[in-house]
Amino acid sequence: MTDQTKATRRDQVLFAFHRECATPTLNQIINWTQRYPEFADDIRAHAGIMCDWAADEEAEEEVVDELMMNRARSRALNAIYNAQTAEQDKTQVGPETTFDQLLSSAELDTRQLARAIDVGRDVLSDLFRGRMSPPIGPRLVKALLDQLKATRAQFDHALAYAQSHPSMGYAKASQQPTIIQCSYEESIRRSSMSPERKSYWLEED
Amino acid sequence: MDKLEEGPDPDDITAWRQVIKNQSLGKIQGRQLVAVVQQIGAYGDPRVINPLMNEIAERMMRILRKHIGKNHRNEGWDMIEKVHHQLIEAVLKPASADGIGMRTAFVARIKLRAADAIRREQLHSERYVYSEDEKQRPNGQKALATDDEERAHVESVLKRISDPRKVLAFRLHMEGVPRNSTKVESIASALGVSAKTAETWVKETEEEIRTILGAKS
Repeated sequence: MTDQTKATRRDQVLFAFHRECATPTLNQIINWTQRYPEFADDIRAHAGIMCDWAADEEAEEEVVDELMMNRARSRALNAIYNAQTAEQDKTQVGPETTFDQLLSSAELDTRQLARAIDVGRDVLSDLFRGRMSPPIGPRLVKALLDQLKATRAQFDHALAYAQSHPSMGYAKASQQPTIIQCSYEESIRRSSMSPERKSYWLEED
Repeated sequence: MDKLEEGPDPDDITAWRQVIKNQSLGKIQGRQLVAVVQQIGAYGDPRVINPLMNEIAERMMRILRKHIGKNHRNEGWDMIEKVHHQLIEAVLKPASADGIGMRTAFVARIKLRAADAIRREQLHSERYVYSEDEKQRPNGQKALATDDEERAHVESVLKRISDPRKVLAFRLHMEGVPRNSTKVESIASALGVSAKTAETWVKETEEEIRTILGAKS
């Protein structure tokens, strides 16, 4: 048994002991130490503490002063904040962090997504293949988050991934393949979309 | 204390909003409060999650203060705050052992961790004794008026005994009847020591109590 497994098992046994024997009797201590000889010392120590508590049970409960209660409430708020941060980190390093994975989760392909939000497929291709440099137009980001059912953190992570793994241009006999970067505005303007749609994607709400 | 209620279903956020509005969180089982916090998650509506976490934090604090006595360093506050921090963080970790434990049996889980903290102190440091109190204790106490007073005094004596095994031996010795040789063997078996040691521990503790309570007899 590893140390971790043993500690977990010890916790389980002692938790059950606390639940079943609020004030341990002689027979209960004998019974539990025989059932779990590997944790007998812990069981005895906890039994001693629990018997002390039982003897004090009738003592008047002490009021916890406001300063200590404020500190307790402050720890509660910190716990919420810490859990939010942990959740965010998990999302950012989670499996759904590339555009291909986000598309797959939403059961869409680029063509369907382009049609759904009425944007040129060439624009999405620039974005997904890492050719479009941030910042990305807010209207497009919002439309994509809605369709992909993704969080802003997931989008940002997918964008960062695309930027760090861009698709190359076509190889030519005269030169090495190169990464052709463009801004959001350049990508929209050179797209095959209608002028109205181009204006729509370039405007902000 | 009145028996605590189950409260609404953890999924029923509207009902929980109503409970908060009515200021009735105090009537609901701790494990149910933990379950609903874990269901909602840290990103849930702050008007719901914050009052729930506050109620849990305050309740946890009262339980810890009740069970970790002032006979520890800094009147037990260091231990209380450490355990409180560990447990309140675990409330929002539904898969953690304490997170699961608190939504299964709230009070028992907190008591387990309080006992762990006391046990750790017993193992790793000498029991903190108020030396001034020791000096103030005269050989003969003034006469104790009632059985309750005597019992309270025995408790205060037991608190001063540094070996928790001796205290437990004495308590088990006092538990029910008969108090004969079979009982000594049972105590020995419970404590994992020889009958002779068990008997010595009980006798030593009795002696100590008798000396201190001497004035009464």
